[in-house]
Parts: sequence; C-alpha cells; structure tokens
Amino acid sequence: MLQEFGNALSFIILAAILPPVILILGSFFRPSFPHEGKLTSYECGELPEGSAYIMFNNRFYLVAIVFLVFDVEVALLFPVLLLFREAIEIGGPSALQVFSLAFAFLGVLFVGLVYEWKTGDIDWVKDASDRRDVLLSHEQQADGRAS
Amino acid sequence: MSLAEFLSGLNTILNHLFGTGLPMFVFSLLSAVIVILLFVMPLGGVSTYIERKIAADFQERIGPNRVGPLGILQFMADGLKMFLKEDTMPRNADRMVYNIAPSFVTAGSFGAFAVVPFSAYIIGADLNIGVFFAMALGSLVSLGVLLGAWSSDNKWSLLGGMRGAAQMVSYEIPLGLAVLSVVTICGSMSMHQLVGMQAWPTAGGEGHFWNVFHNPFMFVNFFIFFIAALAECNRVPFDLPEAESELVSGFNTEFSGMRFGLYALSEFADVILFACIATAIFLGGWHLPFFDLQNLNLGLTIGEMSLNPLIQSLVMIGVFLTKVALLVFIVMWLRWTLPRLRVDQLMNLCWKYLIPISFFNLIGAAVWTWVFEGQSLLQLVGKVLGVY
Repeated sequence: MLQEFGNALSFIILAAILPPVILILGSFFRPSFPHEGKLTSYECGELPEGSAYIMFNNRFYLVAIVFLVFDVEVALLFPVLLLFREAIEIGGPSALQVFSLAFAFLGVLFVGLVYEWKTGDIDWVKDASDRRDVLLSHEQQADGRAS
Repeated sequence: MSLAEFLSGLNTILNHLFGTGLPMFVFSLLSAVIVILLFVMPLGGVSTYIERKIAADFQERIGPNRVGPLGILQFMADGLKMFLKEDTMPRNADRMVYNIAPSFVTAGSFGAFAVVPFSAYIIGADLNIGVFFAMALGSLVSLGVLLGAWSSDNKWSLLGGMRGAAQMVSYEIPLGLAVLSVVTICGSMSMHQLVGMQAWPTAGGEGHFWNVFHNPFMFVNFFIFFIAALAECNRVPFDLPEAESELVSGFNTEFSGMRFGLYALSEFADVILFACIATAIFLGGWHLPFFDLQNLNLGLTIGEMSLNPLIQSLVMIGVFLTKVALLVFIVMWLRWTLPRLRVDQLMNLCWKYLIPISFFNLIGAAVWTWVFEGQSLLQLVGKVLGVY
C-alpha cells in the first residue's frame, strides 16, 4: 500500500510542477516588453481606482464557516459508514451500533442545518420586511442625515 | 495492479540488456507522465475543440475547420499560440501567490487522475482511500481559484474568486454526501473494489450491477452528484466565478498567455475527472450489462503468454471512456441549454434542496443496505424470479 501512496504522490508532484516548468520553458521563446499600460490592473480601459481589495459581503465568510463545520462532519462520517456493511455481515448489535453512531452524528448536523435555515444564515438575501426594528433604525438614520 | 507495477515489468528486459534494473520511483513517475501528459492533457485539449464544434452545431455555425482535417488540430495551434504569448503580471499583484496559484489548480485536477480506474488492470494508484483522495484533491481546485483571484489585484478577479470559493465549498457537501452513500452501500473506498462490485449479478457473486440502479435513493444521488460536480467545475449553469457577461473573465481576468491556458485546460480536465469519478462509482466503470468483461476470452496467445488481459483492458478502456464521453457531452449540451443561476438561487439550490435531499438519501441507502443485507434491487428481483 505504501507503494500505491508513492504512485499517488508522484502524480501530485508531476501535476504541481507542470505550470512552473511550462512557464519557464516558455520564457525562452516568448517576447517580453513590459509597458506601463500593460502592468496596470484591468478595469475596462479606465485607470484603476484605488486598491482591488474592496470590502465584500460578509455572507461569504458565514458560508465558509458553515461549510467548515459540515465538511469536517462529512469527512468524519467516512470511516464510520465504511464499516457499515462489514458490521451487517458480522451481525448482532454491531450494525445497530454503527448506524446509531453515524446517524446521531448526522442528526446533530441536520439540527444545525435547520437552525441555520431558521435564523436565515443560509439565505443569501435576508428578508427584513418583518424586522420593524431594522427598518425603523434605517429610517432614523435617514432622518438624521436629512436634518 | 497499478500502472507503475505493470511498467516495472520492463525491469526484466532491462536486466536482460544492461544487467541492472531501475528503482521503483522511476516507474511511478513514468506512470504519472503517461496518464497526465499523454492522456489527460491531450484529452483536455481535444475536448476544447469538441466543445467548440458542439457549440457551433447548436448555433448552426461551422466552428473551427482550418487547422488539420475538420479543424481537429485547432487545440494544438491554440496551445502553441498561448505558449508563445507574452506573460504579463499586474504590477501590484502578490507575486508569490500569483505564481503558485496555477499549481494548486493543476495539482487538484490532474493529480486526482491517479485513482481513476481505466480498466481492471490499469489504475494510477490503487489506494484504499481512492474516492476520498479524489475528493480531497478536487477541493484543491477551489483553493487555486481563490488564490489566483486574490493575488491578481483586480476587482473583477476578486469578485469572481469570492463567488467561486463560496460556490465550490458549498457544493462540496452534497458531493461528499453522495459519495458517502456509495461508500455505505459498498463498504469500500478503493476505486478498484468499488468498480469491481458493480458487475452484472451472478449466482453467489459479489456484483450488484451499477450503483445508480442499486436502489431508488442511489438513483437520485447520482443526479445530486452530477449537479454538485457541475458546480465544482464551474460549468454552466454554475459558471458564476467567470460569468463573462458580468465579470469580464472572473477569477482569471489578469491571467494571460500560458497561465490562462493552464487554467482553461485544468477546467476541462476537472470536467473529465468528475465524469470519470461519476462513471467509476455510479455508472459501473468498465462493466457492461449482461456480461462480465473479465470473462472475455478470445483465446489469442503469444507463445505461452495469454493476450487476454491486454484485450480485456482495451475493451474495458473503450467502455469506460464511452461512458465518460457521454457525460462530458451532456455537460457541454447543458451549456447551450440552461441560463446562468443568480447567486442567491445558487445558494438556495445547494443548502435548501441538495443537502437535505442527500441527507435523506444517505439514510435511505443505509437502511436499504441494512434491510436487504447489501443486495441491490436487481439482485432482489433476480432472486424473486429465480434467475440465480
């Protein structure tokens, strides 16, 4: 089995060194005339305004956090459910043990999903029409700016 | 048996000629070179040509027809052009990250071909954690996309990269759950064994026919896997990261010449990779209905050596690649059929539909395995009819 992992590693190494090797080989053939216009960031022909590291929606961050929890749990379920068929063949209580272990785990995950769903963390566009406090505070801010 | 082990058979000839053999790691690298450089990269290139031809057919155009017969050498001309193009890097780019980002993408999409079982005798590395390895490496692609986008100091890139990261990580969960259900019903993660179990059922045999027909839950799971894989490859209708009508070119806006070429090539390689995995774990790999190819015997020999493994291998590769080509064609077909999703629809589809459905299917598949002791629908029908 160690040999097989060595084979897999050689695949990864070859795939990872391909881009640098191709780019270095290409550097002997391709032209290189750097120019002010070429080196600026592309913004549809306009001069770029400010840094590209703009603020973006923090939903992306929330999705990443939720993903982390889910992905770790899915990864941890793999070894448990791998044994499921074997447990059935052994018979007795072992299948029940594996099944209840895996699905208690999955149940917690599912409760988490329902919680996320209810609190609206997985809605990309949050519905605030029933949140009077949010609407009011927005109106107050608008009034404050107007006066 | 892995490809490297098969190639190490050359040592007997080398021993004969030079009196000394080569160490094993040379054959490992050689097998990687054969699969990646001689198979995946040309196939990725040809599929760019086929995609353009199919697009042309859908739109009643002719498509590429100048380079070579029917334009088949177009991809080589494109590759050569990109190889000779000037390589520009934005002045404010994060130099180191910008340079290593393509490596992550290629490592993810080319490297995972190590565990694709092309036939019963040809596989890059027969790992006992095969499917898991492919999934783990496949997720490197999203890292490469995000790094490339972040490092290029461009607002279009950053927007595309953030979208890409959110989309790819979200759809990894239904993908993982669909693969998990396959692992549950088969009790193995080795690609070789997973395919081996999908033979046509015989009396007392292990085979339970293609996993997609194993039980109703698996049938639905195949489509979940397919949809999630489409999103993982950033293909239409999930091409938000590079939405050319909104974001110029999305995450690879600032990548020019061969760097862009590598991104484009590994995107096609990713499509082929997921088609290969779907074929191997759901559509029975090289197995055909009614007949087990491992029993194929034409009785041809060279001296005392039987040619059976060679002939079987060729037929198996043919069957496997036909299924893969069919899936890739469907992916290209969808491109000219469906409009792009909006970002909130994308997230809703994943979190509110695919994940709950795949949860349910996982439980269903596990209960089915338990109740019927791992037998498939087909085996049960066969038992009732008394075929076996």
